[in-house]
Amino acid sequence: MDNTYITFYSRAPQETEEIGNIIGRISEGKELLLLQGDLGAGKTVLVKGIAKGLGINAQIVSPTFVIIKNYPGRLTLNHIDLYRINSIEELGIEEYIDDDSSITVVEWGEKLINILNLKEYLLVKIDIIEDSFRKITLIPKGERYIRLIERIKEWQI
Amino acid sequence: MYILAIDTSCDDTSVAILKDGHNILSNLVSSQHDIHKRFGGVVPELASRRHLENIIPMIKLALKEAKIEEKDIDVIGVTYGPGLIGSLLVGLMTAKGLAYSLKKPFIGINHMEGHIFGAILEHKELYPPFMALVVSGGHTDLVLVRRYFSYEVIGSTRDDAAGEAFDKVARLLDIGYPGGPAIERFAKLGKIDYNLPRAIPEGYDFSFSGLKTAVSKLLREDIDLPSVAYSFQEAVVDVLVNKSLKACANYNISKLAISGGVAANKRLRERFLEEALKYDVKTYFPSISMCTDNASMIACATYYRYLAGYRSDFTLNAESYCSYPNG
Repeated sequence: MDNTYITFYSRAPQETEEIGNIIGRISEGKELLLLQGDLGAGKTVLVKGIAKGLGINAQIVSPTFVIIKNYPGRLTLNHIDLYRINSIEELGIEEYIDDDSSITVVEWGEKLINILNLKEYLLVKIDIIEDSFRKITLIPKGERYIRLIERIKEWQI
Repeated sequence: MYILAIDTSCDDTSVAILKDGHNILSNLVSSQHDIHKRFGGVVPELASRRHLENIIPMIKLALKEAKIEEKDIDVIGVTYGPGLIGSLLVGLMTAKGLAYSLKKPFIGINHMEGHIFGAILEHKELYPPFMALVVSGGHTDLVLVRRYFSYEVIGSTRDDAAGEAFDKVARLLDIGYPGGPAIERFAKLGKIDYNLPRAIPEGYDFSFSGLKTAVSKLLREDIDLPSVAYSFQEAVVDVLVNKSLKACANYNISKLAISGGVAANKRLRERFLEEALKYDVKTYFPSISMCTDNASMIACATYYRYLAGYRSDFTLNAESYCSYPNG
């Protein structure tokens, strides 16, 4: 990890959602976010915020059972959950990732890195510190995500 | 988790004990106003000597009030700056000594960050992004808080701090020290608004020295003194309210925290509440008694810094001038 990453802290679910909101607002399309965090860390809450930031009004629910959900908005939000998934190859995730007009958020997504040999992505680590206190670290991989972090640091909504 | 915090950045010796960041078990402030009153300001050497006399008895008293013992303390927080160097050192060295003897972590806190946490302390629902106006005797800063522990000063005073202007004008009017409460009381008797000039520097900066000069000019004429206090207060409040709310609008921020000693001014609070409605901004003030320097706000900042993993080591030094941290 180098100094290009950014750390947020959250004291409550609505704060986590607000952080997602900022990410959603500054996204430009074709972003790939890999979410890492234990059960109950707030991954889906963060995605709710991202949806809000993209102007999506639909109710975001965990896609654990349906695996992939798409929500139309300023950019289409592809919400993927790999919690139950073992054979990623058959899902066709690459197609979602390559789409310019969408942003792809993958819960339990770190397993994609090796399988798809990913070179560019934003790793979002949510650590449970205590009760409702969370540490949310955004770690960029590749130039385009380093620039994304720069924009997050200086966002103006 | 029990946090003991010390603040000795200026003329008040403050010790507080908080449980879990928001529950104040004791909050002691030993004001030195009596000894600085006759000078019309704070005398650094006198301040640090008084801190030294106060600090240990106050810690003992704080523990007693909180009904806990030294060994129950989990983390020690202390202001390391900005402030008067001699005063800061008394608090910092005491905190280090406690941390060393109790074998507990200690965390140095920036006093200005403390003021911002002073708003969070009593408003747990306040979270970034928000705008903060910190107005005291030494500072007038507009700070954009995009995320916890990261502060971007978008504007500050180019000359006098707002609280300093209150003190100086109170001296001109010869109504006592500290100037804030003295002017506020006196202004209530005022009936005429002399419409003093409002200096509006570019961007989000402030300037109050011209206002003080305008007051001294006005005093050469035969005028109503309480009305001078009133007009002065209106002018300061006007500028603070307008600039802060404009900054919120331009940055598209819907939350504004106002803290520091000047935030205790009732006219300021009243005007902010009125005007913020027009901008659709929600304002967050500490309660009046918690606006001025206190260690509870330092303890609140300590709690969250502790949770976030920050720790200080014994090489930490006091800093007279330091800007907002940017973690």
